[in-house]
Order: sequence, then C-alpha cells, then structure tokens
Amino acid sequence: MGIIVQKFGGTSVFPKERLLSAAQKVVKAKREGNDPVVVVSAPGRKGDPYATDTLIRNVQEIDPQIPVDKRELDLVMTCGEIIGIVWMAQAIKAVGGYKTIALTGGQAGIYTDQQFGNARIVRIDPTPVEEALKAGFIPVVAGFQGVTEHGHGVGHGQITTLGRGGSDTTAGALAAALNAQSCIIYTDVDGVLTADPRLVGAKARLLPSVTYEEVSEMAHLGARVVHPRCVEIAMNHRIPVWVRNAEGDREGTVIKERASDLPTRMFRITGITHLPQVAQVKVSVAEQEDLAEVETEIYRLLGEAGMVPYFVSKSRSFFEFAVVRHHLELLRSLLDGLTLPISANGHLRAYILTTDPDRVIHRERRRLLQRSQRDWVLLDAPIEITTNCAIVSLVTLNTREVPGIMARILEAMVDSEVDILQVADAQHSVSCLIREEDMVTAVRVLHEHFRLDDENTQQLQPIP
Amino acid sequence: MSRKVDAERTQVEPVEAEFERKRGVTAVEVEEGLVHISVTLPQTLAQRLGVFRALAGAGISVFLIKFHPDGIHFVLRDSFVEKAEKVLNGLGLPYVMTPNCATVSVLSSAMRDLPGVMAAIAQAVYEEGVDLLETGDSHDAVTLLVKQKDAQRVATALKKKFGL
Repeated sequence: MGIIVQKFGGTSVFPKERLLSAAQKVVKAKREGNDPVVVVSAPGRKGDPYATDTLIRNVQEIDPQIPVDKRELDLVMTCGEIIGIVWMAQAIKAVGGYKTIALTGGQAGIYTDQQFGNARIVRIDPTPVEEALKAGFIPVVAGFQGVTEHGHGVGHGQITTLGRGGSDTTAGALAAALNAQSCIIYTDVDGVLTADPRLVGAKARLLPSVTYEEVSEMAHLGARVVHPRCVEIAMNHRIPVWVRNAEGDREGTVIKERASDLPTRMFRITGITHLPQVAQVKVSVAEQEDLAEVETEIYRLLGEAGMVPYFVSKSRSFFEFAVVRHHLELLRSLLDGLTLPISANGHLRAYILTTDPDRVIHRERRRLLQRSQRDWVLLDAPIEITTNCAIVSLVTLNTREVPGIMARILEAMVDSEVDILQVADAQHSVSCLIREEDMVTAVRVLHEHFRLDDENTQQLQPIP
Repeated sequence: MSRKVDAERTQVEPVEAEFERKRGVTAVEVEEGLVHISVTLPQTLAQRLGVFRALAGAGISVFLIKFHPDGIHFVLRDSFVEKAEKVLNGLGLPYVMTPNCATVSVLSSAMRDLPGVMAAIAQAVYEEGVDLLETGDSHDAVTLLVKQKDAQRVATALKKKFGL
C-alpha cells in the first residue's frame, strides 16, 4: 500500500449525491491502507453554476466588447476547482471522518511557466502534500492550476491554468512527483472503450489494458478518456494510470506498459475514434513552380493566426489541408481576396486567392490591380472549402508494418458507400477524412469490420 | 533539457526533474531506403481498394498513403520493390516508381496544438530548394518525403530551424 492519486472530474462531484459517492471511493482507499491524494475539477458540466465555462461567461458578459485579460481570466477560471476541493474535503470528513486539507495548485507546490491559459508545469515541490500525508490528512488538491515562480517576468505566485485536460495533467504530475503507486482517473464511462458507446452502443468493449502509446493516440484523435499530457507524464515516470467509472466498482482500464515493453513484431487493433467539426480547404495554383511559395506563405499566415493545418497534401496544381471548423471564419477573413505576389524567373506574378471568382468584388479587385500594376501577371488561386468533414481513425499498436490495414479500411468504407477525402497514417493509427454526415456510419462499420466487439481482437498478434 | 544526438536522430528529452516536456518540436528523424509509388487510377474507392488488396495479398506494407484526384501515392521499403512491381504490373495500371527516397520526420508530442510548425517546415524546405515528393502529418509528426540525397540537408535545415 502507498500513495494513490484519485482524480475526479466535474460530473463526479456535482450534484451532492455524486460528490458523496466520490468521497466514498476516497474513504474506501484510505480504509484499505492507502494514502489517497485527491485531485478535483470544477463541479458540474457546461452550464452548471461553477463550471469553468460559466465562470468565464459571467465575466465576459460584463461587456463582451472588452476582452478579459488572460491573467484575470485564469484567476476566475481557477475558482471552480477551489470550490470543488472545499466541497470534496468536507464530503470526505462527512463520509469517513478523516482529516482533510484542501490545497490550491500553488499550495500543493505546483509551479508553472507564465503562459496564462495554457501553462506548463515546470516543477513540483512535493513537500506540502507529503507533510499533509505524514500528519494524517487526506490532501485534496485543485486540478488545472499552478503558480509562477520568481524570474518569470510576472512575479512570484501568479495563478495560472494548465489548459485543456488540466486536471488530468495535475493528477499525473502529482502522481509522478509523489512517486505514487498509481493514478486513478474517475470519469463517466467504464474505462477506455473500443469506440464511443453513443455511436456503437453496447458493442463498445472495455479494454482491460492498453499501452501509454495507444491511449495517447486515442486521446489525440478524439477519445475523451484521459488527457494525453497526463499520459505522457505518467509514461515518462512509469506511473500506472487507471481509468474507471466514478459510479460502481468496476475495475476499468489500466495503462502501465509502453509499446516497447511488449514482444517485438507484434500488433493489435485497439479502437476507433472520431473527431467531428473539421473542414477541408483546397487551394489551386496555376503554375506548378509557384506552388511551394504560395503554400509556404499561406501556412505562415495560418500559423501567425494560431491555426494548425493538418491532413496536408499536395499535387502538381493544388495543395489541400484540414482545419478545425471553428477556424473557418478566421481563415476566410485571412485568405479570401488576399493578393500574393510571387517572383519567379524574373517575372512578377500575383495570385489572387478567392472562394468565389465570380463575385463582383473579386472581379473589381482584379481589374484595379491590373490597371495599377501593368507588369504583373495576375492569376486566380481558387479556394474550395468542404465545410462539414470529420476524422475517423483506426487506432492500433504497431500497424505500420502490417500489410492490408488500408485495404481492410477501404473494404468497410466501400461496402457502406462512405467516401474518403484523404488519409493520414502514423505508427499507431490510420485516419480518414470523410464527410461529417458519414461519420457515425464510418465508426460503426469500421468497429464491426475490425471485429472490435470480440475480445480476441485485442490480443497481441504476430506481424505477418 | 538534455540533448541526444546521433546520426539519424536529434532529440530534446525532458530531464527527470521536469514534469512536462517543453512544447514544440522535439526531434528530427531520417529514414532512408524508401520507394515512392504513384498509381494512376479513377477516383473511386473500389478501384483504390483493388490496389491495396493486391499489395496486401503479396504481403507488402505501405505507408504515407495519399489520395489524389488522379490516383494514389504511397511509400514502401526497398525490400518490397520487386514484389510491388510484380503486383502493379499484374494489375495493368500505369504507375511511376521513384527509388532512393527518404523520409525526414519532425516530431512533437502535440503537433496539432502548435501553430506555425507547418509554416516553419515548409519555409525550411522551400529555402533549401528541395523537391518535396510528399507530405504527411499526424498528431505527433510531420513527415516529408524527399530524395535520399537531399535528406540530410533537409534534416540539418530543420534542426537549425527548430533549434535542435
């Protein structure tokens, strides 16, 4: 028996019945002889009074025209977790009669850089939590937050938030700093499943054990089980992570092996993930020799605006990429109408990017440019946008060496008449960009085609 | 951070006291001995399936797969070339095979959270004047396919660009 870190998400601590049920799990761990350290998220889900988005909205609504300072936004965002730790500390006392101490991220020794809204943990001083444990307390630590140290420009003790998945990150990092025997992430599903049960129903199978790499791949590609930052920290420090349902006593999924721990030349099919709300953008360029320069300039503009192009591909006359759909408006405002001068072989060509070459404004822009810059060769660079796309991924272990994975994916898609717009393969996954209207069908047919409801599918198999 | 450098990989690794890897590009890797193949065929999944089935039937694994309006592109290792030629000739489809290729991969733990990386990569390759045969990306890597003779030059430019 030793230290275990138990992390409870917002839906596990709100309303009161769930909070008491979560406290019971802590008490049970303590009674079994462990030293629990509890990490808590902001209570509730989107729209609930103390959920993070509600706290942000309350500030923004004071005057939506004035952006909230990032430092102050972090201050308000951390309030939900602080409420959560006090509730949980009180609930543990009520359920088990144990001494508890509620600690903010800073009080728990979590030090970060100064990147408000998305800070990185640079150091953890385990002393406050270790001393609390020695004194017989159950420490209850606020997830998603830390403080800056001296020398970070903004002074000592500024409160920061850790960004998406921040409470999972807190749990993983604390487990590593305390050299805990395990880190348990309580969530609203039974563990890591082969696919989202909302899409495949009861056919979604619980994976009893997966490697850090597989679960990280699933999380990056859309599965909402445990944040990849937590997984990476746990993997680097060799901390076993359990993903369990906050309700009931099911065992859940354990993540404790690296892919390199497994026998070589083995593979398995792990699961199917999905990411909706993606758009595909295709930019055509008339002169092949200009393609690389136009592409470089556009990626530079997107990068400066905070957008990340992915599923990149290029042909002789065009290049294409995907972006998350909520960036489309920004992308249009950046690119539609942009005039891009290219100097090639002594000529000066200019490409006018447009989503609609027939629009009056585009024709007029072209006419005026041509009148003022007579020595330019003006060319249209039409932008085609497929607005409603999704990414469906087959997550695997070591399938790059396995012949036939792409053929099997295509078999499933052809049979169900799902068109694939583009593919992207990696060491542990193959992703397909498809139309969003086909997403549910694609997840279901792939899950069935790869027989993921059969427990034998998850057995390691030799690479042929 | 500590730095490990060898012939094929430069990687920045977190030291034990750090709980999170610094964000950004962490390594550049080169893999040589690859062949790029582009097969011309109609833009229907059923036709494409025929090619991948035939390759799978011959035990050939492929990667860096890309769908294009006029066909499919993919990469395989040198050791599969003879088998692949036999398969593709048997299918009777026009194809172009580019031997002596290499991939240069830029690695990061969360590539899709890093605006500007694709631009920096595209700029580095453009400045080197290297012919980029194919690009692929995933959440932890951007992979560039180039001629093997250009691979180390591209890797050096990328390492410089990302301060590795």
